[in-house]
Amino acid sequence: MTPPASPRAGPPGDSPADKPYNEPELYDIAFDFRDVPADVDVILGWATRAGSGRAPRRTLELACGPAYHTIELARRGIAAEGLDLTPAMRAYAVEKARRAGVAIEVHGADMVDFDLGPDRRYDLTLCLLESLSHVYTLDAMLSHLASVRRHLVPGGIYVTEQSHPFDHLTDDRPVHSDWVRERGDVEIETFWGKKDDEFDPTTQVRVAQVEMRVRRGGREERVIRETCRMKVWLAPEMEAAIRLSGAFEIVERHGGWRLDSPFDDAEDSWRMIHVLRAR
Amino acid sequence: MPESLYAHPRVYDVAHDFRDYAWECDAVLAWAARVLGRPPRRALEVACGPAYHACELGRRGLEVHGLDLSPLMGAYARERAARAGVRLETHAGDMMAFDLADPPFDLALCMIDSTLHVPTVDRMVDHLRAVARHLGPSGAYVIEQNHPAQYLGRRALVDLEWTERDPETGLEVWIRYEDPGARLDPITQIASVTVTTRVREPGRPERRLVDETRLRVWLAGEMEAAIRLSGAFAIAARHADFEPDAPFDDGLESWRMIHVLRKTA
Repeated sequence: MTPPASPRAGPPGDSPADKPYNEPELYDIAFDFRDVPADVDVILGWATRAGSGRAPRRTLELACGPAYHTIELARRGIAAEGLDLTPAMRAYAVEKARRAGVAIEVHGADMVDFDLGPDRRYDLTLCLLESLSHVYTLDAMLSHLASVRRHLVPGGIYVTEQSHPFDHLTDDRPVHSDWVRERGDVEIETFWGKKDDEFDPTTQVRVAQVEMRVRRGGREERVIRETCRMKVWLAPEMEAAIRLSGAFEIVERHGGWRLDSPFDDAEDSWRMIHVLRAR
Repeated sequence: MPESLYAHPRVYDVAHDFRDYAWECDAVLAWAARVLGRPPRRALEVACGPAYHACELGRRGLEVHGLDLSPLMGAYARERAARAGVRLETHAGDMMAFDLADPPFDLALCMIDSTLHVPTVDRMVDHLRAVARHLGPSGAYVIEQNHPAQYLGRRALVDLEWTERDPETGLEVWIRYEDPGARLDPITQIASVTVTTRVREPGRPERRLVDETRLRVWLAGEMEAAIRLSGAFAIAARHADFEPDAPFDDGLESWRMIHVLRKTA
């Protein structure tokens, strides 16, 4: 089994019609390649450091999909909630948490513009993998950042993960990836993006061709094919958008999932992670 | 140590005098007239170099000024314009921080990707505000940059190596820009590139000029954010070619990223 060097996926985002997002169980298997407890250690470390030593007590994961990280946060006694646009994915995440012995709440809303009411105030929000690629324009990003800010306590932290600009601005790393994951007798080979994906450099939107080949007991059971529109966000563009929002300051940037992973163009810098603090 | 191309404005001019500046100015004037609601009368070309566009606009009766960091280049541009019967007023100044005493212009332009010399979003904001300070109300600013397909998707849209010859003097210039797209720091979007020039002139030994320069690649998404951050301009239109109605897209004719801005503050 080869985990993807650079998973291109966004968990549920803007488009409930995208079939992989409507196949939560398959999606859950295909994207279960992270060391979630280790990620959560790092996230809590960043959040504590950026939040002047205060450990988060209530969290919200945006476009949470199968809620890997939210379930892990709940396991640690944190009041952890998720938000997702796809009803099937929300139901799946809640049930998955229940089976893991924890209760999580998953809100149905669009991360670009949401309002969960005045009682929902978090000290940490997350948006992981590449869900922000479903935010397609500057205005949508500003609306998203304003929505997140409204749901944070003063000084609250927002951790975002996006693809590394290296993937888009150099020829060295392909923007498409494929990998195989298995669980029980199910094996899924996922192709996220292909060489001949449509890409418009003026909008920075790629139409990724997604294919999930599902094998059960060694026999191919079905193939899911779909396209997924993904906006490439680059580093200075994110910085400018964050400043324009007036909602956050950039506290740290990281290139990977270690407490101190320099964001640079070295080989092991492979993600673009922002740790933001609410202004 | 080889000399710099920028210390030899005539060589620079011969190397870069190959575009259809009259055709390009037709489009620039059409865009400016849409923003202003009338034809522009006073134009400022920033980071003008030999001031090809300002000179062409001067030929058409506009009052024209050029700004360049290099006084040498400014003097050259002024003489070059004078030979064409155009009075070009030149100013030595940094495109990111300049302050001219002149009355406001109604059109500013920055052509042939001079914004490659603006290194960060902060400096772009400084630049936009500096330009806006020199424009009258609803003034127009036209910025021409490389098309993003040059860097995102990596289509070769411009030549990086060529030879030009001045038929009058026999001066021949071969120039090669290292591809910034291939040498880009993907985080800062800055590339350190070498520009090599060879100059042949009747009766003189061949000369070689070398410039190590840091170029900042600008993409569409961050330009929008920087323009908005400046608080000084709104985007009136974007184009990918010098036709008044050319769309900004990734079509077959698309080769430039052109912003037409309207001053708002």
